[in-house]
Amino acid sequence: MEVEATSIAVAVAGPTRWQRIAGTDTVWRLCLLLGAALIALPVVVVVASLWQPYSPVWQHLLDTVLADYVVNSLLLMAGVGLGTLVLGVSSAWLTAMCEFPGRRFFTWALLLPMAMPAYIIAYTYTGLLDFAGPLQTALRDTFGWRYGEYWFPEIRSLGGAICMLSLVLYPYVYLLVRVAFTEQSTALLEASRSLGRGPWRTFFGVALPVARPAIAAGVSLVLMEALADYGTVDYFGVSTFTTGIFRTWYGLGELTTAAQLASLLLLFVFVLFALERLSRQRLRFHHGTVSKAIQRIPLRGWRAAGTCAWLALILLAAFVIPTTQLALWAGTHWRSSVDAGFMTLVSNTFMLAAIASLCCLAVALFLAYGKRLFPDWLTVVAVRTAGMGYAVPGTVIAVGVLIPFAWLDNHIDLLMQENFGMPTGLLLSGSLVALLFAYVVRFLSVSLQTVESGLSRIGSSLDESARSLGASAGGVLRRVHLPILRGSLLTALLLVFVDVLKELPATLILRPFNFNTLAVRAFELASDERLAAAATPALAIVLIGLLPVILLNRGMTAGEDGHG
Amino acid sequence: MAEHLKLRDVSVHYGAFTAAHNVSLSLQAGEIGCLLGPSGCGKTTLLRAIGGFEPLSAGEISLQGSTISGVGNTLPPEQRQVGMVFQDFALFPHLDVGRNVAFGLSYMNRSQRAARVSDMLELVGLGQSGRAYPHELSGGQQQRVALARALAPKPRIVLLDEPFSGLDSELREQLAGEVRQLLQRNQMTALLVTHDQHEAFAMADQITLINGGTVVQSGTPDDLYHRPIDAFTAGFIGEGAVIAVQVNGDGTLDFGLGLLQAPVAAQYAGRSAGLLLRPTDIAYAAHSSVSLPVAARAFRGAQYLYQLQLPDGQLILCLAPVSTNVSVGGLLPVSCHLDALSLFEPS
Repeated sequence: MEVEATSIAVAVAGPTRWQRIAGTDTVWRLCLLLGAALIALPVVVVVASLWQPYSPVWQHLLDTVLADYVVNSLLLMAGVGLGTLVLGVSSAWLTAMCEFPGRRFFTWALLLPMAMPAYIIAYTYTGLLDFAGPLQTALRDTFGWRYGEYWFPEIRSLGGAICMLSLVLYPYVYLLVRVAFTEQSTALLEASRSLGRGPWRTFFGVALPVARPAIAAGVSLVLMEALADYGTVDYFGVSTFTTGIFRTWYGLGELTTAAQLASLLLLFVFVLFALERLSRQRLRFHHGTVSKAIQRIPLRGWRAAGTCAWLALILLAAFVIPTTQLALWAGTHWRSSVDAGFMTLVSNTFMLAAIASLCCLAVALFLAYGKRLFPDWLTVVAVRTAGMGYAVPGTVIAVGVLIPFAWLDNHIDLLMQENFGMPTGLLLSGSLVALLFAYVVRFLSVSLQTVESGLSRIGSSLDESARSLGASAGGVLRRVHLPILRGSLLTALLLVFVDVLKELPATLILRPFNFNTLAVRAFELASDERLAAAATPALAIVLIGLLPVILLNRGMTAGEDGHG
Repeated sequence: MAEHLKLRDVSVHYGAFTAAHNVSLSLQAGEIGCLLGPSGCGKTTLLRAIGGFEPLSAGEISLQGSTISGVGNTLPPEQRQVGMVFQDFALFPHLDVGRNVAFGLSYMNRSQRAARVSDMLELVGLGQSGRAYPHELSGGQQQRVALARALAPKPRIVLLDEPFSGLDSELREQLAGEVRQLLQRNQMTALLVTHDQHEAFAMADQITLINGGTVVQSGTPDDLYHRPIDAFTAGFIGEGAVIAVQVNGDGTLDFGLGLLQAPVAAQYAGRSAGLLLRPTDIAYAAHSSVSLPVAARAFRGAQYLYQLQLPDGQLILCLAPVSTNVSVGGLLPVSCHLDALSLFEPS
């Protein structure tokens, strides 16, 4: 098609201008493949470790802990998947399709837990719920129980980790599914009602299946997060793949074995992806061309009260209670923690997150748009591969980045010494470049998915009409797609921003010497059981994380008002 | 014979906005009705009220003698047995055609359901397409699936919301005729909403013209075309021009083509009024003493539609054989043939 169109154009417009454009296409395509290869490099390095020799440590792992890793990781995924599904879909449905007092408030407030990293909520609830915490102390004082005389759920357990992760990860499902619900044609629901199905059967028979791609996308994001989580499971002492990889590496010093474990983890993710793709086959979910204002189901009386209570419960558990506890701790400790060093921490963190999210967006746009222009299998595979980093735990990406960067550093060092007698040492691997590269690798798929889903809503006729009016490929992107995509782009930026802010393991490993971020600081303090002292940087992470959530929410409601 | 569907003084409000006000209409069993009007006139609101999706703020809707909507009393849509065909068809994208049609048949057992689905698909000429997904079908096929799905549970009435607006104009009239035959063969009572008068004429026995949320006029297509009760109906239905005329005390009309002797309703005697002139009312007459200057013309194949200027400057339309071939600025000799006078209050 592309060749045909070009050759016709050559015949019509004469050779020079069209040949130049055809040349740009080739360059674009080449850049795309190279860029995708570069981003896939750390993952390739990790997978390639499977062909490295296997150390004797493997036998030890197989005999002792590997079964634990697999079972715990599976249980964690199942639990968090189910938890976020229930929390995310119910809150999305209620705020998108029902009308009740407080709906507007809950619509944005339910996004707040996005700002709460799982390891921070885990420290906070540990402080609240463990033996010496205020709740158990109050119970003992009230009923006169003593140690061992009563049963209380142990927060530092697999179940605890599932609860913590579900509470902070459900907004991914909420956000994506809510958009799907609001974009669903209300006529679909009305058709079901007029064919004799009540509101509940309509929800389960029509609304939910039609929203399935969004649910699958949301839950698969969540599952990848859950698999990649290090801070929470490590703090709770639950053995999963990530803690296992960390332990194998730090404890046993087995870098290759850690990378091999990580490639097993990747296998999990590939299976997950394949299942999701398979379930979507043959189904094309077109959006209705008629965009009507949403007809919300009015809820009154006990229904409205029950809805408010349910949403308030989610909000309290996932945000209000932990934030209040953090604020109380920080209130007693902030004098000792807020100093010039703390302000440097804040600006470092903010700068890193901003640069990383911009980088991710630029690369995502480049890849997604390239895939749209040249949708052949090579491009598609390249873009898919580039988007796989999100599934890989931060620790493993760090290894995957470190290995090639160190190799490069060694070679540059050698070259400089031989030619100029000037050793350069670790030029790249200890720099912010390595860390930023790791962030792009890790979080690219977040922006890529958002940009791609936005692009897929733009019909190809728009591209074609813009091209026929003389716009170049880049011109179409700038003049047609970017303005239409503004909402998606904002979403992409902010999702990555929040993710980078919370990122822990890769930052721990790749940060330049003497360079700290809020997350690293909070982690160090909390690991030393200085929970109250960790509260100030933790609260700062939550508060900075709130800014993008507020912006995100503004974009979301603005879009809705525009429809109405 | 009792009315099958009856709307009595129905009003629907969205907050302070009145979408429909004091609308009454009725349909006999087996009749096909139509709500016709410009977009935003409230016709879709009325249809949705009958479907059970809008609560009434006044009045009552009854189906087969029992009330289905009253003030503060709305029977849920799923209990009404009212079939709906939506403007965008609203086919469930996650179900194939067969399961779309079977969606409303959960009260049947498996074999009954399969039989009914194949009957319905046969009925709409899609017997082979049961396993296809909606997006694999053309617009016309999707439309027929939507109709089959609505008819499958044997509803008491079918409501069609702009059912042809998503289709090509050529397909539209053909499908409208097919759908009418299909509904009549199955003795279905149906109510159609459209802004397109040709669709309304092709489908409906009874047309209710709506404007600004109220009923302007109800009647057969013939009534609405030939006996419009006001300037809005006259302007909305068919082509024509409403010109200002002077009615004399003796019952004669004075307008640019001279005096016209015609019986005129007494209420207009001695006053000015609006007179509807259809393009067919003004005929080309080679030897007429009256010739009017051509202001514009449009080619209509066998005919020209001329726009002619009266001596007082008002414009009227005239359909004349293409052989007349008078260009703009030239004079066309015409005569006036009025079968029935349509006079309105002056605007």
